[in-house]
Amino acid sequence: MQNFISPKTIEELCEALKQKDKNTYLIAGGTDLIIHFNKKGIFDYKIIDLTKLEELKEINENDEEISIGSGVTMKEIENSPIINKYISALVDSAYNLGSQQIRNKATIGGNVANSSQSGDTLPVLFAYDANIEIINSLGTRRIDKIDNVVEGLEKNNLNYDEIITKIIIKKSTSKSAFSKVGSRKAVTISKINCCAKINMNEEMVIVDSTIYLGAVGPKPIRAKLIEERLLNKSINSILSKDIQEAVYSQIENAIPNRSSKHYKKAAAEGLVEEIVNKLRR
Amino acid sequence: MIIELTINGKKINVDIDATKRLIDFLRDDLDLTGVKEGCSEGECGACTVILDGEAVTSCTILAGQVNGCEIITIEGLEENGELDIIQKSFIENGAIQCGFCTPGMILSCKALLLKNPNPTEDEIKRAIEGNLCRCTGYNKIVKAVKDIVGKEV
Repeated sequence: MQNFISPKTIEELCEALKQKDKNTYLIAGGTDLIIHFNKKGIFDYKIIDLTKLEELKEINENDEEISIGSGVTMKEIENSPIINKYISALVDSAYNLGSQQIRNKATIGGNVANSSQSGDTLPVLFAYDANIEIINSLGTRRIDKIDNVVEGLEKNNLNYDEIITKIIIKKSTSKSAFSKVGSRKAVTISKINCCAKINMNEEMVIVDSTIYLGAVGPKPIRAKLIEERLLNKSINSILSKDIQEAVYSQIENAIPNRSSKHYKKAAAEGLVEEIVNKLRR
Repeated sequence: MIIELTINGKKINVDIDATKRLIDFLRDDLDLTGVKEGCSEGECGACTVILDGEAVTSCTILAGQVNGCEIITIEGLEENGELDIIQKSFIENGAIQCGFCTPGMILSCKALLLKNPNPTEDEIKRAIEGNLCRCTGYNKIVKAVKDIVGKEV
């Protein structure tokens, strides 16, 4: 194949995927891939550029679902009325990811495919149990759970001739929020991040909660202990001391042998507190 | 591969190695050396250019990806020998010391002002959060932008 192909249609994409070899890389935003080339000293490569595929840039909704094209950028997520209405946590995570320049290019499909343990949209997609639509070189589409697609530590379950086309999320009336902590305030890679998705009754009592913590394992982990602690509590009466024990135990279970656990316990407590505050908005 | 793009207002057709980085294409092929290379990983913002109206780091984009796009570099801001209003304000406010971050910094501000001529201080800070400056301490840069808020950019 040529060393650089920019397919404009799905048919052209499938044609390119058929010719893909182990020296061929897929590029969208490029904010992870080109750094990977630098770090690994890869100079000789072929490229399939996904940025000219209009189908991947769409955000759509129907009565039941929201579908986000894999080529949608963080900036587009931040500005999307549909995503702002239904998935606040995803807006939070996109808003705080990288810098302005990174958010203008980095895509949600890339964040999933890169499967970094620090990926910021991942805990949100896990909390919403997102479905990932994948297409292969024959044009066959399959749908898989985010939990299967992301294996963590920069591994995913895609075959060599597959790409992610869409992220599909069920519509709900749940409220959600995301927060992260890194080594500085802005433009930082998460040392720990967290997404909470809850349902409340009319008295603002939490009747259902799903919480995922990121960067405390190869991929986001479900924080059952914290979920249980929040259950049946009014969102307005939750205090830091109520949740501290559950948060500490959750981190202890996740990374018992890591020296960073002491720091991450305190950091996670602050994160959960910040998230509870955001859920009151 | 032959690509067509608009660079600083001029339409060009060039035969290039599409797999090289945009920064290398701009500096080495087009001699636009105002595009600076700092960290090479999208963290420092020195290589920032405006791509279809958005500030982006040219070290994390491949040249082939800008086929059909419009790019503005620092060289494109001056018109008929006169500096852009942002460049003048940076000079007047002493927002430049060594100057290495300046092209990227100014283009991040330009991208902001093109979209939002009346940014708040927080919006200015957010627009330049991806541009590192080790000399000025940022205050003068923010002031340089605040001084021209609401004016024609």
